[in-house]
Amino acid sequence: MAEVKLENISKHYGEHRVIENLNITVKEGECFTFLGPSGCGKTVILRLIAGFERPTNGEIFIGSSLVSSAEQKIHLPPEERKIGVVFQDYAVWPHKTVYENVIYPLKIQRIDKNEAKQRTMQAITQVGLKGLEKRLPYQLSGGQQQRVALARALVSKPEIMLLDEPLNNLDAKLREEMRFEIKELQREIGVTILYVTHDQEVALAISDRIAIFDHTGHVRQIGAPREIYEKPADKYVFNFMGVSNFIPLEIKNGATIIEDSNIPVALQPPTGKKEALRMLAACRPFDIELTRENTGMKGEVKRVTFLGATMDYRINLGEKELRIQQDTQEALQNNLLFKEGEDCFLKFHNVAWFESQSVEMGVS
Amino acid sequence: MGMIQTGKNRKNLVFSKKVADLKKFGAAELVLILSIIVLVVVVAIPILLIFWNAFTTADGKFNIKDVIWILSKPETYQALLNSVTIALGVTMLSTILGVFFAWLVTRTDLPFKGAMKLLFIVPFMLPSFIGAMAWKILLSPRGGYINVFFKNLLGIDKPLFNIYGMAGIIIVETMYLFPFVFLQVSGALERMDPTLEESAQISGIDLFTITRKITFPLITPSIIAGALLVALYSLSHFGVPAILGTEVGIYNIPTLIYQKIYASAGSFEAIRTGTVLASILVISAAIIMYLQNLVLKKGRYQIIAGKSMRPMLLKLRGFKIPLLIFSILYIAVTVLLPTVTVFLVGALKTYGLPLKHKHMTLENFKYILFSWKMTKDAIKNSVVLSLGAAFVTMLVGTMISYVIVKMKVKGKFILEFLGMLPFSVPGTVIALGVILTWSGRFGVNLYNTAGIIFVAYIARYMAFALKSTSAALEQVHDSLEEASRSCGATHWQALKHIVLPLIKPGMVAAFFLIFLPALRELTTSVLLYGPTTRTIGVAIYALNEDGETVYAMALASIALVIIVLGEILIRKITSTKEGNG
Repeated sequence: MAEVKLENISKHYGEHRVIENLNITVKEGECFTFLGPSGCGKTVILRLIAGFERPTNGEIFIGSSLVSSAEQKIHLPPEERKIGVVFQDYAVWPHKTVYENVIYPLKIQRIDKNEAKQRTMQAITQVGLKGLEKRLPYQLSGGQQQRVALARALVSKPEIMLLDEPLNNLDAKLREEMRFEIKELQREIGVTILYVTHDQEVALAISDRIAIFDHTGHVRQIGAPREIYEKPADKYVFNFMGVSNFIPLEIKNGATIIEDSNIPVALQPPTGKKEALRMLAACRPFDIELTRENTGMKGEVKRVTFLGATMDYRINLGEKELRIQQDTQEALQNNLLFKEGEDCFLKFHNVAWFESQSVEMGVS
Repeated sequence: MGMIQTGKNRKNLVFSKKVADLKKFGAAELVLILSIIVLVVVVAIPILLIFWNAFTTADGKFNIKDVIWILSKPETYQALLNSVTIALGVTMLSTILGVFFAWLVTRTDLPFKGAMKLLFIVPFMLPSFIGAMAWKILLSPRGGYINVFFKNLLGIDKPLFNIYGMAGIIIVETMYLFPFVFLQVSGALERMDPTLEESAQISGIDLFTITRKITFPLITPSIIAGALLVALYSLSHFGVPAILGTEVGIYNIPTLIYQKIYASAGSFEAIRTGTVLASILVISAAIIMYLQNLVLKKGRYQIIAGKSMRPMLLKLRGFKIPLLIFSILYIAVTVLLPTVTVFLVGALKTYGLPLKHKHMTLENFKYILFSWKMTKDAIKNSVVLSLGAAFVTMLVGTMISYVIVKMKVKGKFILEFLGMLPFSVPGTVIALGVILTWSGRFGVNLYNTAGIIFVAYIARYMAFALKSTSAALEQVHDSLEEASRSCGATHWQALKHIVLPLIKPGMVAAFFLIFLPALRELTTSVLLYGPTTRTIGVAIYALNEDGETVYAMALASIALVIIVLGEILIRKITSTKEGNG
């Protein structure tokens, strides 16, 4: 277990500034996720921490040790950083069996043979590959190869584990299973995990804290999963964490109306922000209720999609389109299923408010 | 552990910083510099010296007048013209043959297509100068076996065929070079997405129009690439023109260089002429390479698709059997006939006797293999030089490819540029270059030793090593090596445990790709050999020149056996490799 600290880290490739002045401290024993769209530089951060890349500026500490410093020209090579890395493409060595793959770090460290053997078998058992030790990687499924990579990273009991989109190439069911297992392993071993993904669901499920990056490589928010989901710092974070409706509003003569229209909306901006003339209301599809009683906000059902447990609607509110979901069962019971072309009324719950600079409204 | 304590221990930090600085100057930069030095010494300096010699006077002044004077001399002018004519003729004929046969084995219902495809690559195995000698034996105006046969049959005085001359050279070269086009084009036709043609067929277009308007344009880049390869090879080819041209006064650039250097025993003017001609070869080769890269880059994205294709096959109907017979006859005439000739003549008691069993003996082979020092030395020289050059070139090539493909070092672009050079340097040029470099100019004199042939082979075959090993390295994803590093392995350990085992097949392939052609090499060796350093190719050529045709053919037979065994071995190795993957 060790803390990881990035201080003023920048990474430039020629003119291209991937990361600029990044400051993050990952606590001991924490599962910390770097969440962002592809190309935002999150993998580069992992590679900087692992020592595969050198920062252009700034310093990286692992525990109390300075491992990278552009200013002092310090660069500890990857092999001396005591980290386990699980790569996006697994990087399981094709010419070694499962057993040979997993025991490799222990061989390099010249661990006593018997101990190495025992620890290897333990790691293989831990990831559920017992009985497959003698297989070569091409005889394994993608999920199994992923577990080999995981066992290999675990076996040397690293202080820090770096995982780069390790669940990307798995099917949905296996992904869910593996993300549970990673979380379990972390609890068991207490290793510090740095996890990179673009999948907000995985991030919410396994992280103690999440850092959200935008596509320019800037951190928008750092916080616990619920904090981020419930109190997103800005529109970007809100949008990234799930399907979102954004409604640009305008306060005119004390009444709230949809921007550049005369459609009134029964929404009250929070008191602190009343001074702002233009606001952005944001909510999830489930936070808008469809009802037949007049709420003052009338919409028209444009499209209905049956998704099993949920019903998915596209509703026109004035010229804007909103995405709304309801529980199929509940709607059936309350006679609230709407047909395409039908009129409906909207009721908002849990609205988040953001400053607005004429943001395009709509579904994202 | 080399971790650095912060705050608490300043001295430790300063010390460790020095260690880190030292490490920074370690492996990566060292390997880069080493790779650059190898390429500079082996390839760049010889080429530069050729240009230097061609374009400066004895006291080092720039000199274009002499260059023009040399080029305007009838003999050099004629040699240039001959080289271009031969290259053009061979390229055109090879392209027609290569495309036709490629189309036949990939896009028609010709029977035994798999076997036929292999047969069309067989001409590669027969060294073209040995083929030329066999054709000389068969078709020389005086005493050529076929000519004699027809003289007796038809009762005529004049020989029917004359293999000497431009036509003979072009035809014989084509026989052994067309597989370049065949391989490129059949590969492209196999990889071509059949839906491209099918969608045209669905639109109701007939097969002839489809072939003309869709298939042909799509494979044009491959045709051009193959044709340029033939042109590159033919332009600087020594063997065939030396055997079929020199005797009747026809020279191309390489044979003229050879003649100049040997006739004048290396006089300044001969070297000057040689370097001027060599410069032209280098420049044209560079242009050809550039064109080829351009064409291949453009063509790559157009046709390549996945596997398991079922292209439309043209039904040959009544032409099926005649075309099959034609193909088999073609191989029989171009490969089997010369090969059999080589073995039979090699077994003759005296040259000129009819090819009958009672005139045959195994004594020639025994004599060459076990008794005659000259041929024994030649075989030993060739084997040792090829093995050594193949081994060294493979290792150095792997190192250079590793830097180019995998490493992030400042100054890599220098190496990338130098790495292109070996691809565009013809054998004759290399020979001339190493003579200029290794004859004491820089304090090392290897002239007339095996060493000079050794460095020449390294330069000549570096391109093969680079191609094969860089392809292998490109398939080893960076993360495999990084995974090893993060497991605690040093750079060297990661190389040893992960990278080298994974690229081993590529390295083995590189070894054989160098060993086999080096074993039969003539173009370079013939300019470099000394009294005790003949190679197999040189020995065969010299024996033939001296009129010892029987022994030349006996030695050629032995060379062919070694080559075929080697080819079988390499096929075995590469196919088991594919089986595992």
